[in-house]
Amino acid sequence: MRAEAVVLFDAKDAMAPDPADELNTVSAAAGGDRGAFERLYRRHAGRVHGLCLRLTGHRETAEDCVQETFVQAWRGLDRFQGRSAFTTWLHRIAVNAALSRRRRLAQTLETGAETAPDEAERAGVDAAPPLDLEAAIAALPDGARHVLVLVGIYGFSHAEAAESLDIAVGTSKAQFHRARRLLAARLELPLEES
Amino acid sequence: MKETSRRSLDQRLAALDPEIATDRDLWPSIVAKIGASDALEGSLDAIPPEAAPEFSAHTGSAHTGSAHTGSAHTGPARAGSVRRWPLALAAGFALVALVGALFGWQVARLRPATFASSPPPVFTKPQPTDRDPFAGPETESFRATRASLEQTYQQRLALLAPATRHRVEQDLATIRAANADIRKALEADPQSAVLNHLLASTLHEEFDLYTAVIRNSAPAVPRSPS
Repeated sequence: MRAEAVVLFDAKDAMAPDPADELNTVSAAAGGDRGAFERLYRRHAGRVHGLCLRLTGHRETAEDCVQETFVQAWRGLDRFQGRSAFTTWLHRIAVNAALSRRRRLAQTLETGAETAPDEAERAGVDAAPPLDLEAAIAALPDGARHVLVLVGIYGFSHAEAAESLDIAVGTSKAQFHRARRLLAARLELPLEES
Repeated sequence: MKETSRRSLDQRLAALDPEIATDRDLWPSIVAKIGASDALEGSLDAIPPEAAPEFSAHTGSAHTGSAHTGSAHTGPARAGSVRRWPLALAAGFALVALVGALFGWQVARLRPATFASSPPPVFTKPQPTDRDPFAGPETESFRATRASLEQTYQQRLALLAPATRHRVEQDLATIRAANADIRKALEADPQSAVLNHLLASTLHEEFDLYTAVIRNSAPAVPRSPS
């Protein structure tokens, strides 16, 4: 799992805010200070939006997800006990919001979200021209994309991803492997075997 | 071959920026939602202390068993010292039943006519009947559950502070106006999946509003000594 570990560390280290300042800001927000909460929003909105957008694949749904995430965070701040980083806690709220909206959208519009990518997978990805990485990720089957986004980009461990997605850890690993294989083929890139 | 194309997939994944800026500033919308939530929660100060809330406004999330934080009502959700879950639970069951019925109704409305064994379940123009024009599925259980929920909502609405009651009524009026607008649009495009989805969403919003009011204004059942 060498390659995965590299991704994990990059993703987590890149965003870590000053822990003391973060803690003070969270405490102030938990006490009802909206200015402090706005600072948290400004600090984390881009990352939460990136997560929501990559999980839902839909811009408007992602914006709804961001709003819901921060409203839920405001309401639940008094239950945040600091056992995990605020970012981790916020991301879990965002994942729940994104997946519930994604499911609702798929059910309502009867899109069969897994169908199209699976067909692409069966048909063989070699026939199509290479895509850019974001487009290729967006075209992945839901299950593979969700795990790849959480583990590969946002630094979740497989255990965290499995818990967030309500799947087994082994399934998370299998979906991650599937996603990397599909992406590598689609983008015609070398794949470092893990 | 360019340097970038030689980079492995894992290297490219690692190089992706986890942040993606939103097209617009979402903070004002978030503040508005937080404000509406706090207004509803703040109104509960008008209710005697023994009926203090233990559900956060609108979400209905429970805090049973946790200590009272004493945080200001304009802040994040508080924990309460009394148990009010029976009525909230009933409202929750009603909501689940209504949402389930709504989902079935919505699927039926969007089902292609070729797969329907009965006449196509497309949008029909509201008829001048004694039914509420803001209607949902035409089933007895749906109507009964909805009527019960509405009745409880009306009773609980009376417990809210006047300003909050006014705000809630304004919100409901907005939802119903949206419903009317969508219905009008559906007359021109009855099979529009987006419009049918939006129509069902307005009903979801209405029921969410009812349950939020019920959950946050219900009289408390004192916690048993055990």
